[in-house]
Amino acid sequence: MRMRLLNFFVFFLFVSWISVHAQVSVQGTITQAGSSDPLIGVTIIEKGQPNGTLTGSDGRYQITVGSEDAILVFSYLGFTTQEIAINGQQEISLALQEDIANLDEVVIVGYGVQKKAVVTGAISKVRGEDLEDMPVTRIEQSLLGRTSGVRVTTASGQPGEGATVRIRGTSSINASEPLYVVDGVPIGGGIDFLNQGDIESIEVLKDAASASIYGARSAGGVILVTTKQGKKDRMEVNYSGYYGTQAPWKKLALLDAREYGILMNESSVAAGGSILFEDPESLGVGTDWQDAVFNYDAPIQNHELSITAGSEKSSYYASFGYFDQSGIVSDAQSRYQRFTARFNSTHKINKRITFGNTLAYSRIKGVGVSTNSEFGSPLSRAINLDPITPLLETDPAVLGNNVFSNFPVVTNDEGVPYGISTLVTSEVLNPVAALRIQQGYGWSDKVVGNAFGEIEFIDGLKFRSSIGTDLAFWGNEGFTPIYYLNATNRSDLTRYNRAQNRGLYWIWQNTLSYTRSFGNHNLSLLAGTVAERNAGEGIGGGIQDLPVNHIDEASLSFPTPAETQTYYGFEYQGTLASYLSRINYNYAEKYLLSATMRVDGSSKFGSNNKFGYFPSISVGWVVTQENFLRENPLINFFKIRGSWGVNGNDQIGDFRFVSTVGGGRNYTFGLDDRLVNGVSPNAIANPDLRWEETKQSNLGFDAKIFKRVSVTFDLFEKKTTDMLLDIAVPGYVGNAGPVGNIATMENRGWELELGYGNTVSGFQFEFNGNLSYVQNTVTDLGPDKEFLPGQRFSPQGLEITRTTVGLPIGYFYGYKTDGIFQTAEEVATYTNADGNPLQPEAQAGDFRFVDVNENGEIDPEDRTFIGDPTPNWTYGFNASVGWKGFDLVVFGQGVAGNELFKATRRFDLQMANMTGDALDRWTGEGTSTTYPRLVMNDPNRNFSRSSDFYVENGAFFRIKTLQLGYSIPKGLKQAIGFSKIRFYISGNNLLTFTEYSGFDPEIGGGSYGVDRGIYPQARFYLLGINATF
Amino acid sequence: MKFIYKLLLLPLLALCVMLSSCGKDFLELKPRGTTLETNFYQTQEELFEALVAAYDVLQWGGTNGWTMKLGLLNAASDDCFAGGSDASDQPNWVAYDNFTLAPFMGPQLGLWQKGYAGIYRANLLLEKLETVEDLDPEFKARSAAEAKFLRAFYYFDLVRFFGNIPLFTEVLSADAIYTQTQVTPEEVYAQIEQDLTEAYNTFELPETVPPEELGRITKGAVTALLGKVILYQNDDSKMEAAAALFDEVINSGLYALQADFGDIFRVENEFGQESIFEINYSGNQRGGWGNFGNGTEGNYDVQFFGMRDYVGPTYANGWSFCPVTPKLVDAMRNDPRYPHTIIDGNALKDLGASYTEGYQNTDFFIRKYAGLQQDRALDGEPALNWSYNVREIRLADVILMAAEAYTRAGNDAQGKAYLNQVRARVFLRPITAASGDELLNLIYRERQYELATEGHRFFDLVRTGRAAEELGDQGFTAGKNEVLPIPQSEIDITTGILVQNPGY
Repeated sequence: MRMRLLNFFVFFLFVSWISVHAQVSVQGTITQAGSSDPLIGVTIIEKGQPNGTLTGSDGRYQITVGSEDAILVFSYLGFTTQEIAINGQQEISLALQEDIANLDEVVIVGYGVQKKAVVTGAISKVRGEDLEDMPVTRIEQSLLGRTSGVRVTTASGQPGEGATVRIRGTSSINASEPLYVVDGVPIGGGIDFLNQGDIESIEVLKDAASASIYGARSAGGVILVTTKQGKKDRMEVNYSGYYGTQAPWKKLALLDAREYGILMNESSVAAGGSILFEDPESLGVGTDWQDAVFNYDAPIQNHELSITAGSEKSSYYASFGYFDQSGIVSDAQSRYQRFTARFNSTHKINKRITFGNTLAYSRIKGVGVSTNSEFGSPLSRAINLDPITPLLETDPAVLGNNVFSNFPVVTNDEGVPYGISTLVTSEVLNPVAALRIQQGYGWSDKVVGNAFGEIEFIDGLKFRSSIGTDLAFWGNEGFTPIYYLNATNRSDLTRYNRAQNRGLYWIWQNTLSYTRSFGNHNLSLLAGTVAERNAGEGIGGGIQDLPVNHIDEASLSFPTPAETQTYYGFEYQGTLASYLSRINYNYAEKYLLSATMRVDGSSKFGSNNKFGYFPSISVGWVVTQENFLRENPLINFFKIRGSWGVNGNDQIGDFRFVSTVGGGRNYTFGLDDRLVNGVSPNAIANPDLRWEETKQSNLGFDAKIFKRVSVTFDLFEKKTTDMLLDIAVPGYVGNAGPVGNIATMENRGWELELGYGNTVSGFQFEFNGNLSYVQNTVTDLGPDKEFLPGQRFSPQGLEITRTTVGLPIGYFYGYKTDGIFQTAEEVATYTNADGNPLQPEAQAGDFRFVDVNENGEIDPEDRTFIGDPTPNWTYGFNASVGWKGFDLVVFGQGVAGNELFKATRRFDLQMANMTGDALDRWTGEGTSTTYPRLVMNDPNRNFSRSSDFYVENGAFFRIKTLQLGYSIPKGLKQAIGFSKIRFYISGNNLLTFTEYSGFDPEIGGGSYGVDRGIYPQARFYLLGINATF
Repeated sequence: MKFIYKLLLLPLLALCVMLSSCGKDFLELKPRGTTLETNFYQTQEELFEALVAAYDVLQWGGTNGWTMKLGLLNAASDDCFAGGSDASDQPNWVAYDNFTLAPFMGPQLGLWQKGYAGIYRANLLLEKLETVEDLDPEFKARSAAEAKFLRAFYYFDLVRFFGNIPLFTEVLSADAIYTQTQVTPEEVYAQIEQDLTEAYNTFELPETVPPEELGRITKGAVTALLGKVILYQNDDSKMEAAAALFDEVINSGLYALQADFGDIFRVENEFGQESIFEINYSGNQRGGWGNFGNGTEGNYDVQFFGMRDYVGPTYANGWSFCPVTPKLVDAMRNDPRYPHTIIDGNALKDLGASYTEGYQNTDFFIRKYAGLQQDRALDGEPALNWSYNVREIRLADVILMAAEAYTRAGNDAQGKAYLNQVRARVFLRPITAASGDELLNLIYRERQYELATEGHRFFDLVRTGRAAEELGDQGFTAGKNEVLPIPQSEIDITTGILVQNPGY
């Protein structure tokens, strides 16, 4: 305070002194272009003079300058600076333009911040304000379509489900997930503990040079999340919330009961069987199983309250959030609830010492159904169950039979039993009945925090030490009542299980940095050490034969026989000790150079390779800083960048470099089947085991043209080597081979980001778009592997994806069809070189399979590449237009260059229902060239082979969000004491353009690109409010 | 103020020193919940756990897919078809049934891996037994005998399935992994005989075990297997030696035929008076799809043989594999063992039962290992937790082998006497007139009926040279299908050091 008074006094003296010489006074109002809201705190300086002022709360200023020729400089953070010559004017009012791609903007890089203008790596940034009022469940989903180079595929539409996030393609045949770093703390267990409103920015480090400062964990790219800090000088309370309702956006056309009866009859008769349904016409429409499991009015709500305040010395940000989303499949069994609280603060003890913290707590509870499985997901059941079986069984004849009178069948609240199919069996149960006996949930409690202290010894020389922790508790419980769903799915006793786990991760980071300018030479140095430890344990157990029939009454303390009780436990641990260093140099912000080196020692690496070295170098040239381009009206900014670096992937499992012995090789002895433990070595050891390595080169440019258009372009090539693969040993060795650093793959591609902003006659336009192309190729799987097996389908384990050298990872693998035999003659004339028929067993109406390897017969060796689930193209855009208080936002996103495998029908169950396209099946010459005849037992294996019949174009474009908002005008706001109130109505997933015929073209997770009856994304409508006072 | 900065520099310095000096220790962690191989095999308890691991392989049924030995051999023989839901259910089973086997098609890889996994664990134990000092000599001798029996058992399976195979009796060192060559079946049989003879001569191997050890190898199991191994080599000059061994088992007084044939496969008669060697399965270990493969303790064959989606009395449902062939049904129709061997599905349907007709449905199913409703596992995945033990060697089998050995050695009288013992149990008239080859054929027919669907038939046909005759209509090619193809992956990975079997 004393300081400030002194400053004021000096300033006053100064001004008084000037005023002796000139008497020109200028005043005016500074507003924001397009909204006419006053801008508070705009700096106005007389150019070349130590003279200036600020605008007041009404946006007005007044300044006295030395001469009538003086030039005033108006600057405001985030807005384009303007210079105005007075030329004798006494009133100068301005509307300042917001700077869309501000060159003064800073980006967060690993262990520091950098001015965007001098960044030499490929870093994409998502601003927190762009995510404001956008409904997403998990933060990683907010990256969907927002930046180039990032592919986000949500695993399913179930609330709380994770997403497959890939930065610049899939970088490994093993783990390819990016590293998430939240406020400097690497987070292992996913970032769904974050509350969306707390996000200040998300930076995506895409090229190796940017990411290599994170060393052995950076190969999948790095995502830096920064949460909000307190704002100095003002106190703000913000509430934002929305409430909405969700519904499915698509239903599959399935056969109704009448159609089902007709087709099943046809199929049976074709196989020489009998008529199964005497009078199909009498079956009517039957049961609509989709309607039975879908929830057409699933609520979603979010509430966030935040408080920020601060002074010169101290500031804080505190928030509370609550999010609750119900799923569109099942009423009660698919739901996600999250409570979050956060406290971030910064304190300046004096000019040289700062300390602060971030601290977040989250509590999550989720229940879920199986989302994409042919073995018991509700939608798979809805698709496959026959429409003849009723939802509820009311037929007295049926109710009197053996099953209904003797078994504990599942009933609804009124005691009416659910229907049990006698036509479709195995896992294809009555989905509503099956949901009713599913009782259980998962939960987590998590505390993530970071405390730091920073000392500036001399100007520019800073030492910073921070300790971060991630303490997580998580677990689940489940209950199985006594039930009978069908002959293979029943439980004769109750069961209850519970698991509780705890993990503690800590990281201690110490860095020393020095930043200084010598004339035009700007230098910044960084060196540091990091120590990390991650350890945890879990315990779980179960009992059976409880005397209750619902989870709410279940308890592990019920006395049950000891021999039926089970328990298990596990522990994990890992350590990392690292050294890091970086040098940033630029000459006049024109010639840029950056180099980093990280050394990671890891407990995961083998004794012969304990430390990994991850160097990088990048350079840049800001062409517009050269005299020949300076001040040109066309190109305002142009920077060329190039980088190269090495990243590592340490997700190779623990202790794989030593030979351990494992239990579970048990046998039972004795009349009472007494289990005795057996132990044998797990696998042969490989002490040379090391991290996987990715080398990436990047070439790109950032440009701003016509003052309003920003362009970023990058070209990259990423080569992964040393990927972990089991070394194949002959089976006669008798034990599994060791893992070795064997396989390699490549990702090449390019990325484009475009931005535009303008205000025309009161309308503010803004557009941000991105487009990425990436092609993945597996280049080596070692000397002894021709392929890696991938996904399988059905109980028969039909192989549907493979990974092979020369092709993209996990491509669809199967037979090629060449239309349908229209006549018996076509079958007979489809011969090999020797004139023998290729498909002697086939009949008219069956698929003609292609003899790909031309060996004269149709055999498994004819299976080949029939599609790629990984899109080559991803794109997204966000466009907004504002006028007076109204704003309209459109956010769209899409992918192209991929296929999906539609494995929704359980072909192994002859009587499973079919989709409507079966109505257009082959029924005689010329009736179909795409859908074969229906025949029980399927002798030609038309349906029981993986073939291109199942592969469809997976491209789609989706209007993710369409939002209309209205901010109430200034006068009214002030009258009721608010500085901001915005109401909005939002529609999500309103439109999806795709040729794909399944529920949803977005299929991520473990069943990537394979639709087994995917839980689709919901379409939803929200009403929201965002208010600050 | 300056002083404070200096003070703050101290921890910084300390930190640098600490990180560089402690770095190595900080990164050296000891695994928990598992033991390094180098620290294991030190005590008697640990060696016993290694022995159990060698036993464990006996009941594997999920190596590289569904590869249960018993079910596969049923499908390959004329007792049963492959079955399943449809032709694509288990193509490897269908290929064995139809002899459309190819280097990449068939159950060979799983059977190969299973056999050699057992041999590896037995070899490892035999090596480790020698490295521990002051071991209780009785424990050491008995464990070694059991390991040798197990190694012989696994090699016996491998040599019958594959013919020419690599043979070794120690854990392969790193430089020997890719360089093993095949030896002739004669050499394999010699090693098997040597192992069994050594086990046979081990005084510490007990004749009987206490109830809690049932399932461990006994003298009787070793003797019976040694006789069987000799018999399988088809050398008439060694038949007397085999017969003597069978006699020793039969006359030991430890075993007796069940009075009622139908009682043999009852769950309460596991380790019953007729059992000489059983592979033990358990229904109370809560196996699930999560540890499917070789992690459960259940008998998958039982689930395979059951009627698909069966709803009705007595039986539990299954997956309709190994439907019994009309050939066996017709042959046994009037045999007293028929109702205990074959389930007549149509008779059940008449009682109101229902099931889904699977691939190659004949409406006849295996009775001996049929899962009963009352024995269905209550915990875990019932399909994977059938407790029924496999009667690997039972007395009736040994008596019939003895009958065969005597007959082939020229002692028709003793052969007939043994044959009639087995017939008498099911009240069949004694054979009195036959002799020589005619008698031998009667003994073979008796084996077919007595041991139907127990997995003996295929190898019996092969070793007696009748496979082409009996299995020709199934697709059997003589000179080829006696053995499975060597897994193609084994030939690829050894870059052709392993040679494919003839015809494949």
